[in-house]
Amino acid sequence: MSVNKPKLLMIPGLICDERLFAKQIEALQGGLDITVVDHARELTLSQMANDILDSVSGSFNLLGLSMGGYICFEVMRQAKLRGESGRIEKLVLCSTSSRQDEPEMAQRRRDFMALAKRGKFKGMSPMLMRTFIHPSKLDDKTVVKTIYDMTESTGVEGFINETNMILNRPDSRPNLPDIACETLIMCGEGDERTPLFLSEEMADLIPNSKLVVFEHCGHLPPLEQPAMVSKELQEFLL
Amino acid sequence: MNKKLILIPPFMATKAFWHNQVDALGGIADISIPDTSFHENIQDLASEIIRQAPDEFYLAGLSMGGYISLEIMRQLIEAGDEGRVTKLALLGTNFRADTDAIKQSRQDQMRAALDGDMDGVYSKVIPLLVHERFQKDIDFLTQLYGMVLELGAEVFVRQQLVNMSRSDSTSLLPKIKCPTLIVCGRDDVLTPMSYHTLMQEFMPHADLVLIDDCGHFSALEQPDDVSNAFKQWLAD
Repeated sequence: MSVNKPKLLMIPGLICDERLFAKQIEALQGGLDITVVDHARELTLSQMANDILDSVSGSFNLLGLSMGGYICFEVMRQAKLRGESGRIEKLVLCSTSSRQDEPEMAQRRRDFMALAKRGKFKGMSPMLMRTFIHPSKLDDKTVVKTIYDMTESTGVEGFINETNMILNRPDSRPNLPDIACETLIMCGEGDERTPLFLSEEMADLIPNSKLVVFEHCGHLPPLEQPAMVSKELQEFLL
Repeated sequence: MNKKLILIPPFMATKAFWHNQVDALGGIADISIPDTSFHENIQDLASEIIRQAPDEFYLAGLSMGGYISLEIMRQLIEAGDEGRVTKLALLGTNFRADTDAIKQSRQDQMRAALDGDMDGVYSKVIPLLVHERFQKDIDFLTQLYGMVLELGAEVFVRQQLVNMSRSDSTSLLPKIKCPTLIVCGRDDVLTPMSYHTLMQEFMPHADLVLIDDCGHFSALEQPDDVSNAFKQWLAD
């Protein structure tokens, strides 16, 4: 009978899946029992959050990247409503924001959803790639291929489900002071999608938090700077 | 009765390209934005727009829209119908035809687009199309990409053919008698200010407006400046 390792739930971002975290899973699985959440289902944000709280027993560490972060905020909200806040041991928020979309951004998402429904957009394109990762990574074939592979696996339906969840999220800034657990906030210095100031804002509002910034890094640090991300997570969680 | 205004968008842009101007000018002009996605040469495209145009209209085009506007003027002048255009506006455009080098580059791009890499091709020309400050502006870029994806690779190819099929307009410019507004972003890399100052010299009734902190896609980058220039141009 094995000793129960502490649990870690990892929630990826839009169009991403467990491949986003492959290097980190490798680095951490010796000390943590890791599950990657499937966030592409046709659920509301609160359904997703309750499903997560129902699907794992006892306490766990929680990590979310980008959209995964939005889901984390909902998990914290639902846990509080259920009187289960104590179940989340530590929280990691990567490349995310506690705000809602600006109106123009929300409109763009709806435009891309409409294009996807008409078969003109598959969730990712070379044009959009450069808004996701640091310029120095655009030539990294492994990183780019991983992103396209994940996009294909997500599919148009998954993209639409995820985008709907993103569009319908509330402003989480009022909830940040209630997050009592130790929190690690990570962000790429060159993140154009969720710029650094949004992580700085979260670090200001979450009481027991620290901010780590990755250089030469865009919106997907686990893929762009895998070793640095693994090291930070090892130090924080193990 | 409202003035009629025809706005012609640039390469790989939809009607949405002009949305700021439509909002700003909708009260003082009836605006139509022709579909430029079907034709494969500029002569047929211009003829079609002429055929669908009102009897008298104000005509404005940006970049490829400027090439098409010049072709429209050419055909109207040839037919003795230039009186149909009350005033002309040319934004971010070039009155000369493609050099051989540019034609070659367009053909390479067309091949790449047909091979499925339209995205890659377009994404490489972004630095030529907009001021530096927009090159990392997610909202601005996704606006452009949305239009490009909407139109797709086949339109990319057709519109490159339209671009390549244009004639040199050096000898046409002096024949354009109607009042003309020429607009250029000071930071336009693709069709620099020098093209526009030259155009003004060749045209009998042309005013030149240069826009600060502005690249090639002036109507999107500095929409108020462009709308205000249009408002003055539309006024008598």
